[in-house]
Amino acid sequence: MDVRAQVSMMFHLDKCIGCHTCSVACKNIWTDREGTEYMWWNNVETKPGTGYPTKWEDQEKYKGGWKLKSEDSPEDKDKIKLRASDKGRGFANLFHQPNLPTIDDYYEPWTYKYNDLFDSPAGDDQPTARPISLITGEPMDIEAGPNWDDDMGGSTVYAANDPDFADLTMAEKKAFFEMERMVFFYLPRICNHCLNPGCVAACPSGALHKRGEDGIVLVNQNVCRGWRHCVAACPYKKVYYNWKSGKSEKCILCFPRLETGQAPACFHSCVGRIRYLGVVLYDADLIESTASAPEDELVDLQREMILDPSDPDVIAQAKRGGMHDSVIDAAQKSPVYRFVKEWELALPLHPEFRTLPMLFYIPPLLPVLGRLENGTYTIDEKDYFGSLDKARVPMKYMARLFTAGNEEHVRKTYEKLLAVRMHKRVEQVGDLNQDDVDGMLKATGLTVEMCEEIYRLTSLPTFEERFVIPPMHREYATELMGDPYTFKAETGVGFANKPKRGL
Amino acid sequence: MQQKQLRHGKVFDRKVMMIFLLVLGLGLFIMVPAMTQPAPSIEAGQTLFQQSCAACHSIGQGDLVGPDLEGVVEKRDRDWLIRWLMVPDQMVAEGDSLALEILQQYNNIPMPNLGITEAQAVDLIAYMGGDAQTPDTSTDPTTAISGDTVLGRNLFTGSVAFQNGGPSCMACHSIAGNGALGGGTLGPDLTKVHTRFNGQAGLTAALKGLPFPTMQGIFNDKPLTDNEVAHLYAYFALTDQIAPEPVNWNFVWIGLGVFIALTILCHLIWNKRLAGVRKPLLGGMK
Ligand code: SF4
Ligand code: SF4
Repeated sequence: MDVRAQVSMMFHLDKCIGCHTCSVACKNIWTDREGTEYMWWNNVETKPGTGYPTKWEDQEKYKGGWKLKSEDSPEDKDKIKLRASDKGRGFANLFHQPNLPTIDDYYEPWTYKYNDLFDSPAGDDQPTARPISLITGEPMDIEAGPNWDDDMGGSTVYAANDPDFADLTMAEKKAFFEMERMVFFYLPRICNHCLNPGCVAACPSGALHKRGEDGIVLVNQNVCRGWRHCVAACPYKKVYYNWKSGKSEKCILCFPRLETGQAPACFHSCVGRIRYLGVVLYDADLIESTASAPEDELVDLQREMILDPSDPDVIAQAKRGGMHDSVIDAAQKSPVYRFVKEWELALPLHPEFRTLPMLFYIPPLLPVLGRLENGTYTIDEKDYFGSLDKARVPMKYMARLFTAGNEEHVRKTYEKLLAVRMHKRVEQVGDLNQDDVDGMLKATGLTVEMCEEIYRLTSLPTFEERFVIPPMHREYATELMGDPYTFKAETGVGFANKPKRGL
Repeated sequence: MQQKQLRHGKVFDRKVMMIFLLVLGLGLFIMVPAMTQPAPSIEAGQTLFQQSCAACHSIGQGDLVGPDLEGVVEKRDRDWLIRWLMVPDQMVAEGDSLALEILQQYNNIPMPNLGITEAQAVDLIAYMGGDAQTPDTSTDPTTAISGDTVLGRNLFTGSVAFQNGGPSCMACHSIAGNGALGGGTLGPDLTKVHTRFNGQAGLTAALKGLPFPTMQGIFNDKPLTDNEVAHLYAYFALTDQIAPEPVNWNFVWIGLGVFIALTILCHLIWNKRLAGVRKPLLGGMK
C-alpha cells in the first residue's frame, strides 16, 4: 500500500443551472492573454450535445486516452497503451501529431469592432459592430462558439450527434427527440487531475507532472516544447495549445489559490453551489491494475483505490510515506470522500478512457414523465423505482457517460438518489406511503441517518463543508528561504531590469 | 531601508575606487618595461614564413601563386610593406594603387589577411631582407609523385576520406563535371583553379598550406598529405580542360522535385489524420 493524497472534486449535476459563471471566473483569471482566447479550462456543456471541442468524447476521431493492448493483439493481456501515441508512433509523429483538434473544432475566438459604434459618420443606418477574429484580426463570420449548442440550440445537428447515444437504438433515440419528452442537463467540465493521466504519459519532453502532495497535474512552461502530444492524449481535451507562446496550457486547479487556503475560482464563484472539493487518500500501487481492468469493473475498482482516512492502517502507512497530519485530518473531513466512497453516489466521467479521473459527478435526477391528477403530480408507478425506466434521459445514456456503459451501476446510484428524495418528501410533504419509502431505503441499503446527511451536504452545506482545503506546506517552505517582507517591494533575486516604481 | 541600500546602493565607493586605481598604476609600472619591443628575430621570421607565406611565395625560386619575394624589402617602402603584411585586404579595399596593381598582376587572387601582428611583420621583414632562399620546389617530393585523377576525384567528392580527417572539398566547393548537384557554394568554384594558381608549383603549394582564412581554421590540425595533394592536383589539372559550367539551376529543380515527392509521401503516411470534426458534421446537414 502506497498512500497518496489527491485534491479531488465532486460536481452535483442536479444543482447546476448552466449559468457559465464558473467559466467566466476562470477565463478572467487565467486565459485572458493573447494565444489563450479560445481556451476554456472550465467549460459548461449542454447534454445531450457535442460539447467543446465538438464531439470530444468520440475517441474514434480524437484518439484520446488509453486502450487495452488486447484490443489490438489478444495475447497482450491486462496492459494498456495510449490511443494516440505509444512509444513508437509517438516518435514517428514527433513533428506532426495527426490527432489534434482543429481551431474550428474548438471555435475561432472573436471580439467586436466596438469603436465603429461611436466613430461612424452620421448616416441613414444604425452603425453595427462587426465581429473581428482574435486570431487573424480580420472581420469574420461567427460559425461556432464554446457553448454553441447551449440549451440544445441547433439540436438537430449537435445534440443528435452526441456520441453518448451510441448504445441507444434508433427508436429510443427518436423517442428522445419528441418535442414533449425533450430534456437536457448541464455538464461542467474541468481537468480531472487524473490518477493515470494520458497527458503526462504522452509528453515527449516530460513537461507535465502530477504534483506529489496534492495530485494536481501541471504543464511546466519552461520545459514544454510544444509537441502537443498531451493535447491529443487527453481524452477530455483539457490541455490546450497556446499559439502565441508555442506551449501547452491547462487547468491548474488554481493551485496558487489553494496554497493560500482559497477554493479554485470556478468552485468559489459557482452560483448553483454544485461544486465540492476535498482530499482523498488512495493507494498508488493499484493504479496500473485498476487502469487496465475490464470496462464494467472500472468504477468499482477506482472506488476501491480510495482509502478510508480513518482506518489506523491507512493513517500509519500515510505517515510512513511522509504525509502531514493536517492532510490526513482534511481527508477525514472531505465531502468528496463521503459522496464517492461512503455513499457511493458520485461517478467518474467516462471511466472507459482509463485515465482514472478524480473529478466525480452525481448524475442529475431529471424529472420523469407524469400527469397532474387532482392537483398532485403522479407518475403512475406501483414499483418503487419503476419511474427510473420512464426517465426522460434513458439510463443507457447515463451509463455511457458515467459508468462505461454499465447500466446496473448508474441505476444503483439513481435508486439511492430517488430514495433520499422520497424520504424527504414523505417527511415534509407527507403525500407518499411511508412503507413504500422504507422499502426503498431498505433496497438501497440507506439508513434514515444517511439520508439526512446526504440531504444536508447536498442542500444546506456551508462554504467550509463544501471546500475542505488541506493546508499546503509550500508557503512555509517559501518563508524558510527568506523573510517575505524583505522582498516584498522587489522583483525576485535582484534586478535584471529595475522596475519603475517605489524608491 | 538600510538593507535596501546595501543591496543596490553605490557599487563604486570612493575608497574602493582609490585602491583600484593604485593597483592599476602599480601594475602598469611593472608591465611597461616588459612590453617594450625586443629586437626583430630572423629565426622567428623564418618559422612564420614557412607557416604562413611559403604556400604562395618563394624567395628566389620564381613566382608561385604570389610573386617571388627576393628583394622585396629593398623594392618596397618599409611602412607600406609592414601594413601590407598586416592588412592586405583593407589596403585593397581602400584602393591603394600599388595593392591593386599587384592584385591584377596575380590573377586577381587577393592576398589574405592572415592576422599578422606588427611585431611579426617586423620579424618577417628581417628574414626576407637577409639573403634567405627558400628551397627549390621543383625538387619537392610532392611534384615527383604522379597523382591519380580518379583518386583525386574521389578525395574531392569525399567518397575517399582525407587521411588526417579534413572535410572533403565538395562540402564547400563546386567543380564542373561532378553530377547534377555540383558541390557547396561557400568557397569558389574550383574548375579553373589550375590556371588561376599558376599551374603546378602554385597550386601544389596552395594545397599544402591552404592559406585561406576560412580554411585555416579547419585544416590547420588536419593538413593534406603529400600523396593527397598530388592526387588532387592531378584531378584539378584534368578539370582545367573542361569549360566551366554556367550557373546551374539543377539544384533548385531537384529541390523542388524532392519537396513535392515528400509532400505527397506525408499525405499518404498521415492520410488518416484528424481534419476537422465540426465542419463535416454540418456538411452532412445541408
Ligand atoms: S483530464 Fe487533466 S489530468 Fe486527465 S488526461 Fe486530461 S489534462 Fe491530463
Ligand atoms: S457556476 Fe456552477 S451552476 Fe453555474 S454553470 Fe458553473 S457549475 Fe453550473
